[in-house]
Amino acid sequence: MEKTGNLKNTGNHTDQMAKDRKAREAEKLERQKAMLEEADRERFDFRDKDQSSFKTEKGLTSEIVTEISKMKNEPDWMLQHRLRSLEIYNRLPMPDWGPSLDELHMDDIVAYVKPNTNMKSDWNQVPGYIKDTFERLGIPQAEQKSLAGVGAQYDSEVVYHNIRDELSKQGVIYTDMETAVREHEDMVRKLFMKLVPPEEHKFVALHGAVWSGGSFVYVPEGVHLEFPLQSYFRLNAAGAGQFEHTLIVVDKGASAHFIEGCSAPGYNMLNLHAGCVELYVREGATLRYSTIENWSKNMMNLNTKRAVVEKNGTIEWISGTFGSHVTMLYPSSILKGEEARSTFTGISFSGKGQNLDTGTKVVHAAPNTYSTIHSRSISKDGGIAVYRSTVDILPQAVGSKSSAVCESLMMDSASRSDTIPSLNIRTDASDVGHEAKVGRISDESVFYLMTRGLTEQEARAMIVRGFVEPISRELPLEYAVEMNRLINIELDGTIG
Amino acid sequence: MRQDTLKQNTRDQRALKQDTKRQETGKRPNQSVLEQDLERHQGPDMEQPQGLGEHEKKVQRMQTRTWSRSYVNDAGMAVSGPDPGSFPGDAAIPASGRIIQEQSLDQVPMEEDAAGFFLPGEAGTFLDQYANRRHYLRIPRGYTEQDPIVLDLHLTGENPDLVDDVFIEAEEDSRVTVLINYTSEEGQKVRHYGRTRILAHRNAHVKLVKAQVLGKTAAHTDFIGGIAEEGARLDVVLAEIGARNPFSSCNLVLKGEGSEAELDAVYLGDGQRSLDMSCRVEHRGKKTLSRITAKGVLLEQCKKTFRDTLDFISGAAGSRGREEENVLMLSPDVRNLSAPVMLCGEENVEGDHALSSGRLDERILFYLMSRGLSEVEAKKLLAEAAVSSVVEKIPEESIQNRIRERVRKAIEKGGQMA
Repeated sequence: MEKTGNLKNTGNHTDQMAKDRKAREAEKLERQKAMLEEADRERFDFRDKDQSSFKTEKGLTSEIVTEISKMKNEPDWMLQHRLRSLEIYNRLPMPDWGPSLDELHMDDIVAYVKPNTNMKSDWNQVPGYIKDTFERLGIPQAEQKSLAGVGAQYDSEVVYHNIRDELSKQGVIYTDMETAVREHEDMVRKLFMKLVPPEEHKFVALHGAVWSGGSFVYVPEGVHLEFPLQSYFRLNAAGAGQFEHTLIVVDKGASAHFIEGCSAPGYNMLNLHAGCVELYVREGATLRYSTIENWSKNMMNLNTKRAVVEKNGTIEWISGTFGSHVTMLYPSSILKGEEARSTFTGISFSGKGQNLDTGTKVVHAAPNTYSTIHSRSISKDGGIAVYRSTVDILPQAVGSKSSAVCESLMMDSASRSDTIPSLNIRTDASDVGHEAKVGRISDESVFYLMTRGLTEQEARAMIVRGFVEPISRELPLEYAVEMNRLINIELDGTIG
Repeated sequence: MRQDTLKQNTRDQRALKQDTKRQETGKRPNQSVLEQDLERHQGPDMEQPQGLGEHEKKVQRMQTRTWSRSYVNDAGMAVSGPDPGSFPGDAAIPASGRIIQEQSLDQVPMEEDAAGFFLPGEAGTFLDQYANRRHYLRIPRGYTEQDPIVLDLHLTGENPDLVDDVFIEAEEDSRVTVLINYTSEEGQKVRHYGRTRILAHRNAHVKLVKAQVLGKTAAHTDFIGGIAEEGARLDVVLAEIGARNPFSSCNLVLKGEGSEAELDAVYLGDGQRSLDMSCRVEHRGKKTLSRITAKGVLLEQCKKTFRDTLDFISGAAGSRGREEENVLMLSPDVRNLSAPVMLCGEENVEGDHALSSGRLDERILFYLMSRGLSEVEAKKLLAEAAVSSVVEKIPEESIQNRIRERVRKAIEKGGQMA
């Protein structure tokens, strides 16, 4: 036996060398890829030592909820709301659809982590390590250059909030949610979790019980914000949850652009993000809501976002999902007034170990309402990308139009890409179209580009960039650049 | 996942059969055997969706569940079964006499049951036990006769219950068309419950046409399953025109390399009827091809749920699939639900889906009316045109005409107000 083995080895000496070389190359590529991955995440992955001034116990009880409410010095109705939500949370079952949430053990999640600072409106007063964090994320720089206002949340509390003077003079309110509950109590009480009631699903109920932080925006009648407002949510503590609440009211004829950014460092234990976003777009108003989410891959991102749009109003959702371990996120629009519009532009990039279940819901509840959905997803290295949507055309939505285009790109056969839309059309006087496509980069296109002098890798990267271009051109420039960089890195070393 | 549990349950159930026979004394009057079976499986605490009829049970209809508010996950399946006995009549088989026909399914090669995908295990057991019309059609190697095998199943007051179980096995290189035609006397309370399975061996080509033109008071529950081996081709034409609340499904598995499937469905919804259909093509083999086309006309207060799924299993490299649904809605009160699902676990595939839903183009309607047609006549013409591409695939003119006639009548009755 041994003899034959030896003979074989000598006989195939050159083969063996070629094999070795291949193996070495593969290893080198793997190393490069790992380095690149690290380099990419480095910008988000750094973590600070836990310097929180207060943390609740793990798990969830009415004592913890009451404690959070007391810490925040909240009015009684809010405490009652929290307790009612907790009760609903305990009653509701886990969803029986979508990705598995078995890994999530609520008893291990810390609901509230207070950083050792209060909210400031000057970066110099924010503790150094927190300021460093946001500087590395590029927030204060962007504020100088291109933003009308910035909110920054670190773990459970907002640490910085500021808005340009001229805007506050025009009556624009941009503050953290806690301040809003105290200072704009009338408005907040009328709107808070009315669009997304805690009965909606288990994680909204959870949010209702332990929410903390987030932003409140009010844009008065006729005011147009030239620059976007941005809130950035950073979750530093391990094994914690972030439950920020964003409430935006854009009054009649006004317009605004709000950017939400999220990131967290990687840990070995699961973190949970269950935010809630409620957007009220009044008559003739326009709101663009952009999100670039790049959570670390230990995050369960179970977020709920909803907008109600009145007559002639417009909501524009721009949604980029790159990070997290599991995401269930479906921004929804209720077109309540005549000729209300909604557009949804979404992209998700699902890599190794990720299950990104995203999509949108639209309810046409008034005549002549319009919606367009444009979704693109890429799955790679065993990642799962799911597009899930519902378009509801109610009987009164006569003359409404809806069109959806959904395209998925599969980079390899270890990955999955599912498209699960449903359409519920209840009037004949409507036009509804839905198109979906799944496929890979065609050899012909790669071949064509290669005959023009590109390497295979360049050709593929170019095709992928082209694939996401309709989305990236909707993003603010910095984000578009960032996304392209992310895609280049994700693609590097996978081909060959 | 759900399928596994159901299979498991069926097994458990068989084991339990002895015990339960003894316990059956506690049954409700008028409760069918299937109903009891289902109840035992689901338990009394199983939540029933609203609007479910007396003899209906909730069954899962989506391969992958989605949020409940989209109303497409489940549907009520009619479960009232017939009294055992045989259903009269026989299949009309082309004269050559080469086809083997048996009235029992004991000889059926049953490695995999594609129909079982949408069929709750209990309902399968029920079909096994209570079928009163069984056909095992074995098409010999190389058979290529043009004339279709016809099964005319007419339900009447004397024979109100039909449970048919048909198995078509096409041997290598054979080519066959099977036409199953369901009709009933209008106004009769008849019930049909059926299953049709196809096994197409290498390079066989099976065309199955199921035309359901039952009366509006009929109950209809139907399951189709097909498996195509290497190079085989399955053509299924499914017409759901009549019955009160038709409930049907079709699952085609492209198992062998280079196999193909084409599924054409046509439906008509009018009055207060409710239609529920689930279609799925599974691409398992390499270089498989499929196309699902559905055309429908909806009128008055009818409700329709159509789910079509393309499932590309990992390893189905080089496959292509396309699904398309066009719905013509002619009344403001219709309810039109669609769930066009595409599941993909393989990189080297192409999947496409297109759905369009809307009313008649007013300009075309105006044009036709300016040429002297009344509104209703113009609508009839356009509705017929909308479904004709599928109807024309039915190889029997009399059935084509019957379907066209039903579409015209429905519009005469319900299209006026639209």
